[in-house]
Amino acid sequence: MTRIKNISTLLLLCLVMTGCATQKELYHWGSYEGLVRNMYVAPDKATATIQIDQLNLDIQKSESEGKNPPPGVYAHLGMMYASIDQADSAIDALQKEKAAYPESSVLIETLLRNNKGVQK
Amino acid sequence: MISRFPKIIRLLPVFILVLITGCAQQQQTYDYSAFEISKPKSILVIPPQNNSVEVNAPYIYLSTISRPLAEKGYYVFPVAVIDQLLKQNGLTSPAEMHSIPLEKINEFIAPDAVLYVSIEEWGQKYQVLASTTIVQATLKLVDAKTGTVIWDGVAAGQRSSGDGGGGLAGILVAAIVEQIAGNIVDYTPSVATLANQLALNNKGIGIPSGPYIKASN
Repeated sequence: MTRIKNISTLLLLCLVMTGCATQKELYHWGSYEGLVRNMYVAPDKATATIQIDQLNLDIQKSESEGKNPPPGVYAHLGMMYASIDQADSAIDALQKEKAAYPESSVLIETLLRNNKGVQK
Repeated sequence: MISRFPKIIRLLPVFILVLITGCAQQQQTYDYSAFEISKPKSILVIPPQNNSVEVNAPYIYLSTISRPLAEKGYYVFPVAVIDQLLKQNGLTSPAEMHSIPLEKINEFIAPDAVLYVSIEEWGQKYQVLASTTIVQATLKLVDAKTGTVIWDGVAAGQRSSGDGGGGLAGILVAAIVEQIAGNIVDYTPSVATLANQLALNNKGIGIPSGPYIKASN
């Protein structure tokens, strides 16, 4: 009897939790948050090459589901490319941010002006 | 008559009541009139000011704020890119970043709204049996054109190392394990994530849904 009660309580708890939980997320977040954190807290775990590899994998996953990556991810990737002087890839990533999210237009133009100093 | 139903069935109405009140829980309602006039689509998060003693707090916090805002339906400017841009322009501390005139922000970034965050408490407090991780930050969302505050709130959360059950024995084991391990695990990111979720999604006082959420709730 107590076992049945326990199971019932568990079921109810599940109901409560799923009932209150919000719907599916809009984006596939992957490693973005962890990379941002590590950049400042543990930079050796978030070198430009590590970040570029991870972010490209995450982006592929979003794109394969026909979705945009989360806001800012293309631009963040662009910053990483710029940091290792890969200007073409940097510009390409920044343009993708602008195309996916027109709200970023002014920022992207600012970054592209700043990036002119990056050697090809 | 009553005894024909098992006790658990008889208790069902109580459970349902708990469920309903648990989800609805609506204390006071925020005054959204300024927000409704502003109707922002994009949010710029300025790196937080730090009133705690933990040096890394602003950037750990910064890593947890994009997701809940974007999932709420807003375009969120890339936090690390913004930080770098501001630093390249000579603003090296969050305090300086918090004092940039809105005209400059509009000229170079052009967000609809700017979120200013101030961290009040951050980190672990040690007790006899357990340690508690505490995060508290105040948030202020401002219309980028007018400077009007359109929303504000407090993101607060805490986690005890005993959380997760096991009774007193579980707490003891957890405390001992954490002390032996020298508290390598930093719970502040997950506590900050939880705190943001609560602050932004709390019905009646959170942030209304943005344009990327089609059926707004």
